[in-house]
Amino acid sequence: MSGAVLILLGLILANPAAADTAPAQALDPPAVTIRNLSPAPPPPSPSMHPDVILLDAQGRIAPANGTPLSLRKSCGACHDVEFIEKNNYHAQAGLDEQSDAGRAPSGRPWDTGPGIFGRFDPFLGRALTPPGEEPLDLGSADWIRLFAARHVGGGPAERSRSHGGILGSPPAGVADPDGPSLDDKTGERTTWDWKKSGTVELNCLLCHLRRPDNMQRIRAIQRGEFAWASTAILTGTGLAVPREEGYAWNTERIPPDGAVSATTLGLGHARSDNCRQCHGRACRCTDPVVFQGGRDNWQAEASGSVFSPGRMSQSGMNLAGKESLSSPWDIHAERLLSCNQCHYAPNNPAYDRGGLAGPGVRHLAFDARRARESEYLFRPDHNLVKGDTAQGTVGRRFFGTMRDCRDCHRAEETHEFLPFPKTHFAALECTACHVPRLFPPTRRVTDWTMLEPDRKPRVEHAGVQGAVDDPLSLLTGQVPALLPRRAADESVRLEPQLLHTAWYWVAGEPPRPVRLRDLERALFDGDRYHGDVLAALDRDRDGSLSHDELVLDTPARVEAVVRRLQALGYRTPRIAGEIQPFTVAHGVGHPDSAQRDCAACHGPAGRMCQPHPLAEAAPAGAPPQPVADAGLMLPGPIVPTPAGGLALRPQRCPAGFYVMGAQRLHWMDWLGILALAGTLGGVVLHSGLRAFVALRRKRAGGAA
Amino acid sequence: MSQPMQKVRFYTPYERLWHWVQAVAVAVLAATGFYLSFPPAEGGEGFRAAVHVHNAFAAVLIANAGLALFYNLASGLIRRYVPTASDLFSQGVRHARYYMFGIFRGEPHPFDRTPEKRLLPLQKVTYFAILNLLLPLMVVTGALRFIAGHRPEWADAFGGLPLLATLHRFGAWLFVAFLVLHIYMTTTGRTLLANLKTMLTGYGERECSREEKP
Repeated sequence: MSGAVLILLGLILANPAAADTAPAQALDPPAVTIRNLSPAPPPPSPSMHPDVILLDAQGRIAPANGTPLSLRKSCGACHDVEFIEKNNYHAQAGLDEQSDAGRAPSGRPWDTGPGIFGRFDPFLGRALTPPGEEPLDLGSADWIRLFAARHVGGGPAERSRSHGGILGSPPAGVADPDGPSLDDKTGERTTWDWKKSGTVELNCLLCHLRRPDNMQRIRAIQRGEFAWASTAILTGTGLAVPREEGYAWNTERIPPDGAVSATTLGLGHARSDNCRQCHGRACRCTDPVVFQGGRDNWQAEASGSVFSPGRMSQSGMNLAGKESLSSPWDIHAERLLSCNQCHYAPNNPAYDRGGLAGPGVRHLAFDARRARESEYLFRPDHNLVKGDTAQGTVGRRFFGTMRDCRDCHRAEETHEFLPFPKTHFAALECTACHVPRLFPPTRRVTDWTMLEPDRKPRVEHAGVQGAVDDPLSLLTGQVPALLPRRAADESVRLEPQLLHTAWYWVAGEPPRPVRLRDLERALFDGDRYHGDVLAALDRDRDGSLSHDELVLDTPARVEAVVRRLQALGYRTPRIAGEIQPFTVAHGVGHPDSAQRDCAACHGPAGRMCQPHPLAEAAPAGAPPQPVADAGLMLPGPIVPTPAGGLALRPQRCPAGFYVMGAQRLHWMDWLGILALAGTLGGVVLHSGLRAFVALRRKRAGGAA
Repeated sequence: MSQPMQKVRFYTPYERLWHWVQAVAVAVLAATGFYLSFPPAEGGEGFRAAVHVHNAFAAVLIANAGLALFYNLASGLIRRYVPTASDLFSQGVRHARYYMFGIFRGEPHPFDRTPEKRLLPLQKVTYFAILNLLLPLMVVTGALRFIAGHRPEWADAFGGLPLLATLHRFGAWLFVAFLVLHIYMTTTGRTLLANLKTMLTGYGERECSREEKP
């Protein structure tokens, strides 16, 4: 992987134009990733897969014609690629769930879908502009380039959200609705040349190649060479080489008929390392886990997911109490499970038991009918089974199709020590106790209301002392918030959540996010902050804004930026705040590391009672609220902290849960206490009078 | 002029055993229940142990109460726990007036306790309420809370754990209030410890030949 990074770096240095044309945000890595330090994988084992003829979009031999590889044609010779692409929420990314702006499940007035195509990502601060709206922030081509590292192709990278046809091929006589794009250099609106760029087809090889060259794939897409993306991913095999424009085939290694063996390609089933290309670290490697800069692991920064068999005590990071952390990062990885053994294709005959997700026929408890292997291989359903998390908003109809912990584990047989086990099982996600602490430093705040001098938002991370990407910083870890969430099946359970709070500017009615480029224009004057902004925020009057000063924590400071945005033509600019929960679903340690101390929840110091920090500093205004499609039920108000931050303050009985020892007194308790106090008072009074009378009588008797 | 005293057996060994088992069970339940409701912040194994102890003594209390119910039903002694209308009104008022006034004036107790009629009017009323309202409330809500650990849907059918737990705790406060009053009332016998000794030994003293007072 580090080699690939060096190659990419070299390419960018050698080709300044490439670096210039890539959108700034797309090249900006998140602050934290986990990098795989393992050696290169062993050579692929012999494959039963037949040779693949490398065809182009016209069905010709691609290497012979020097044309881009078309996987729709090449793989489509044996597999129903059309079916695979349409039944694939990784590819659709929400394209098949599009709605009018404001009607998406998130509740944001500008969102048009539940997937990354149409759902605002507060980590990136960019929004897909609804069709026909101005000003443009992200057009279809801009979205493809921005999300190159996270989208497998196909879906919105190939088809228009407006007319459903191939991008750049609008119906006759109609202006191309997908043409508008934003020039990276000038920020001006341009028209994207789809004929030149082509489209990004579903990239089968990203998941089914042993060593996909993902960096080259991303590079091709970010350069706008969409059609070459499928060819670019073969660069690592030596079959293709990058050129100044596009890619060239290495015809010395490819026979004239274009047939390449599956072994040469490294074809096979999707492995965890393939998932890792977009989702972050997911491997069976045994080398130390290291967090470091890069953009291959955004999911670790968001949800703290580390799916690695490595021991935490052997990590390359400065973990607090490291020597005692003998657990693997995820015990499932240690026990040789891979991603696709939980997230399998639903019609895979090896996994489809015909009963768990409900048989097709109502009166059958088990449906013995199965797809034959040949049928499955022709049309494998790529709507991979999935769990039910707050952040996995795309493909909601597939929520809960995955076998969860209870489907594989017999919890009752291993929890004898636990009083009232079924009450706990009914109320809690298993991860509530089995992921008691997360060590990856996750992002807690993204504040787009002010920008750092490098034009990045102000961010806060949880669980780290010091700079987040400094290996010497102490990773203290964090205890996820245990919050009730309504799942897709309407059940409400307590789940561990990492809460990410974001603030950003919106303007107009209906509201739309202020474009990042305009925000930069509002806040900066060249390389320095604009004078009005500086005057309002420079508390120490040193002529510059330190990190701590970049918070719009008073109405006057907010107003200073409002005036700047109004000067750019924005009407009624205001700050919007939201909370995106990330359900903790990975990182299950050894059972010995599970939470066994009842007081962790059942007590005044328990997770259910303690305020949960949301932000160390917060802009002035209304407190943020959870996004609507997360299902999160806040158990109390969001209150300011004395230090100027925000915290969630839980109340009693969140969502009807009763946590013994963690409840506040009910009015019936007060009634009972009153009865007891009255009784005690009566007893004291009565006994005192008796004693007094007896004493007086005794004295009277003595005197007589 | 006071009558000579005679030693009389008030309680059989079984009745004393029942009483003291119940007393220990109630005390342990109250203590562990308080611990579970208001646990210390430092945690440790105490909470889990308290749950198991609480459940075990609840079983003891229920079993003991069930055996006593059988014993009293089979022997017909259950009748002495049933208050009459006069216990509730005329006798009860006399009884209450004694505790409110007479006891301070040194008046003799208005009722003569015998082994056959050892429950006084207000005792009967109080025990009737305890045995028919408070104890069943505690047993039912406690049992449902316990069953919820195995069949959560059962608790849900009765309002869920938040309601059951709140009712259980409300009953516990009242039970503790009763316990305080009960222990205090033992000091209102002929001497401060006379009633306690009677419950320990089974034997108490009564005036030997006096007719029951009108």
